[in-house]
Amino acid sequence: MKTIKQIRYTPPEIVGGYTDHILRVNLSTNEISVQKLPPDFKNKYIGGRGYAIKLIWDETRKKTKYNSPDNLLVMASGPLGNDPGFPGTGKFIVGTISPLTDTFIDSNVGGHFGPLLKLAGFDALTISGISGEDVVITVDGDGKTITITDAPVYGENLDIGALFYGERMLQEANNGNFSDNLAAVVAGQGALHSRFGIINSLFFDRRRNRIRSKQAGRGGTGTVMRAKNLRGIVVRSSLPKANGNNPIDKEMTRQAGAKLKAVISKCDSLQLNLGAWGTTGLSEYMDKFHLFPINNYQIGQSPESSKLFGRVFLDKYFSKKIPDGCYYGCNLACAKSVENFVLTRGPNAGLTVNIDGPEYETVGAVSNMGIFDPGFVLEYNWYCDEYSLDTISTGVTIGFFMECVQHGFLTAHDIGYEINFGNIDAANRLLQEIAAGQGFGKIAGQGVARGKKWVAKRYAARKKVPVEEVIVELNKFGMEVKGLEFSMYITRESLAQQGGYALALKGPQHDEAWLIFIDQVHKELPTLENKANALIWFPLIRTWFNAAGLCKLPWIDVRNPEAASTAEPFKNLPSLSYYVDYLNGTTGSKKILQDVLDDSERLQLLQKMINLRQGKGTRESDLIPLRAVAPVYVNEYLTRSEYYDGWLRNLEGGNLPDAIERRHELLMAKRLEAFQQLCDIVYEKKGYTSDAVPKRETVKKFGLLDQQAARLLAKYGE
Amino acid sequence: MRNTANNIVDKELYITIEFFGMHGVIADTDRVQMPVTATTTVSDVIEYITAKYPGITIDKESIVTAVNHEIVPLTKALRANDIVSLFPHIGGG
Repeated sequence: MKTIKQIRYTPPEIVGGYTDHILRVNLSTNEISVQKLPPDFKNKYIGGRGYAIKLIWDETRKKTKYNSPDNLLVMASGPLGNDPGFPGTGKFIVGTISPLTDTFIDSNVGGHFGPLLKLAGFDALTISGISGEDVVITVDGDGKTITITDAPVYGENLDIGALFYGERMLQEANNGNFSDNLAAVVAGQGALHSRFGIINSLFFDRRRNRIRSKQAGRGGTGTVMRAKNLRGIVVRSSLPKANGNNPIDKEMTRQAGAKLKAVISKCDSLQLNLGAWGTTGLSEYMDKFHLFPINNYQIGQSPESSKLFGRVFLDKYFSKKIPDGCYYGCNLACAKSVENFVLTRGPNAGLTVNIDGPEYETVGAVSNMGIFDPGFVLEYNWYCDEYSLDTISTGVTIGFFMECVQHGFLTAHDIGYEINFGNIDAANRLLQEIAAGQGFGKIAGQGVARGKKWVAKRYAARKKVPVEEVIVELNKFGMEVKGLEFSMYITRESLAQQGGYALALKGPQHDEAWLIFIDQVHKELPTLENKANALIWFPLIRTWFNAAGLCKLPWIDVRNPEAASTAEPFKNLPSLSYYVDYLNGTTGSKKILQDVLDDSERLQLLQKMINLRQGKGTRESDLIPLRAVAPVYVNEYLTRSEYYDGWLRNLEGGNLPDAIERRHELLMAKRLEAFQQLCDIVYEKKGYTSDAVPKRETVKKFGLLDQQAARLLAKYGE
Repeated sequence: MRNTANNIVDKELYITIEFFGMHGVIADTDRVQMPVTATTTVSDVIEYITAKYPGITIDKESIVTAVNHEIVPLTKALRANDIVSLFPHIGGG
């Protein structure tokens, strides 16, 4: 590999979870610099997602697009990432301006990259500019160098992908040997040809003795990476991982970690059992409660769903009894894996591969295409990872086009071949075309929001009807908000989750608010006020996890038995108290939970301001598709008519219209009315106007009223 | 256990227990039937299951119990033909 630029540096030490330095690389100029952060930066912006939000706010502009040279690709762990003494500390955030939403996206990902980047001296890495050729960045904390080289060329079969390519890159970076002192991020050709490219986070798993991968899946982070002609980043540090954060109070962090590990050890196997089958176990529960997305979210339950339940993957595919944590010390160990799977489709048919996953979201993406073949789930998982495509956006986009065909908006002539729900060959063909940027894949690779416009224009010309009329129809079942495709939950019967998806700042991804069970199943949020409060509290605490460098699952998916005796068991406050102790022990702060929430509110508010600047911050951008609220068509109403009639009777009492069409219309109207009422309450509680614009005093209260903010708010009369 | 042969009011009175997740794997079935009396509660169902399937361990503090798809407490009395579901808290990823 040819060295393009190299600098030497002295890796800053970690004290209390921070190095207080960020690494900056400009790929247009090949400038590499190490920046010391001002003392109050960490106090105000915490780390991880907070750092990414602040850097994007300061250094991008309204006209910045995903492929603009001034767009930043930020990768950052957080003060609490990188401690095997506490579960779930391998997370880091990738933040950037998204090719799907044109505003800020953050995607969290596990593995060793975040911890090793911090051990190599950096709380965050920012990449700006666009290289003239494909390059690789190497951050070598041991050799005390940071280097830009041209990207290696290994041959066509390896060069199009991410997994094989990254594996070879890591091997060559360490004299032909794998080591857990190295990790990499890498993106394949799917990220080059679609707007929903992912970044693979590769690390060496000593137990499985192979390179494994996790994914920053949402919003096109890999697309940004490839738009910068950045092929990969390698990081190395052999500093000890234990006590890697150099905590201020080691005993406090040790005790906090021991308490959380004890809860996981005692409870996970009695609850979701993530340690046995990862998140695939969820599909069974989702199907039970009509939440499992099938045929582009048309229905939520099917007799065929059982073919995709967790027990199928456990019985037939997962390697059992191997603790599969994505970072050291996590005894939840949910990163399951399938070894020695022989591919049967695509260009690699016949090849034996190892598959990291599947996770529930990938299973749901396949059922969303009307496919119930667990073998195809695995192939889809592997190809999406290798090509670097988001399994969620890919499945939702293909499902959308399948439904366009179902309703006659598209024909086989438009696509080039027949594509319909349940058609594995067609789904696989379109996946391959998206990755290669060929055929109809060039259209599908743009995602649902842009796909709707393409379909509308084509259909309107054929039928000689106004494009706007077609868009209205497509908006009913095109499952995106702000340009991001929905993750894999049906929200129709949970008003709180409708809000969770609509108000999520990045778009409809469940990691900001997942309220379906406590709302729809447990019925713990009976009033609009209850739902609004949950829509404020959960995004705040979940945002904090993304800022701190932590995985949320040990908190939210393992219920501490002590929670049962609290006023709001669903918040799992006893486990959260361990996190606050871990924070204080690591950083030396003396915070209580409310301080954590206030810190998070500041980050959410600044992200909201970015949305506002980028044209995605007002009420209009919080609208969700009709299908997320109610059955779109009468036949969908009829699939659960008894349930929907009962729902209307509870609301209206007495007589309902005789005609099914009138009852369907009434249901849609009532659901939409409730959704808007919920938005009104949340906006008011958050200190926003009724148009969802933060009020001037709200922004000022959190110390964010800089010149840019003042100018922006003034445009909205604030 | 209250459901001994002597206090079954009517041998035709049964409820259905739905298994989810690892419970279904251990029991190797999706559902079983259980005889009930006039005093059988959800708590009794848990004892019945753990006795019938020793591999199943249930923490009453953390299990979610539903009867006919409605969440209920462990003290809920059962009636013939009820469907009892047991599942964990799910908080979302």
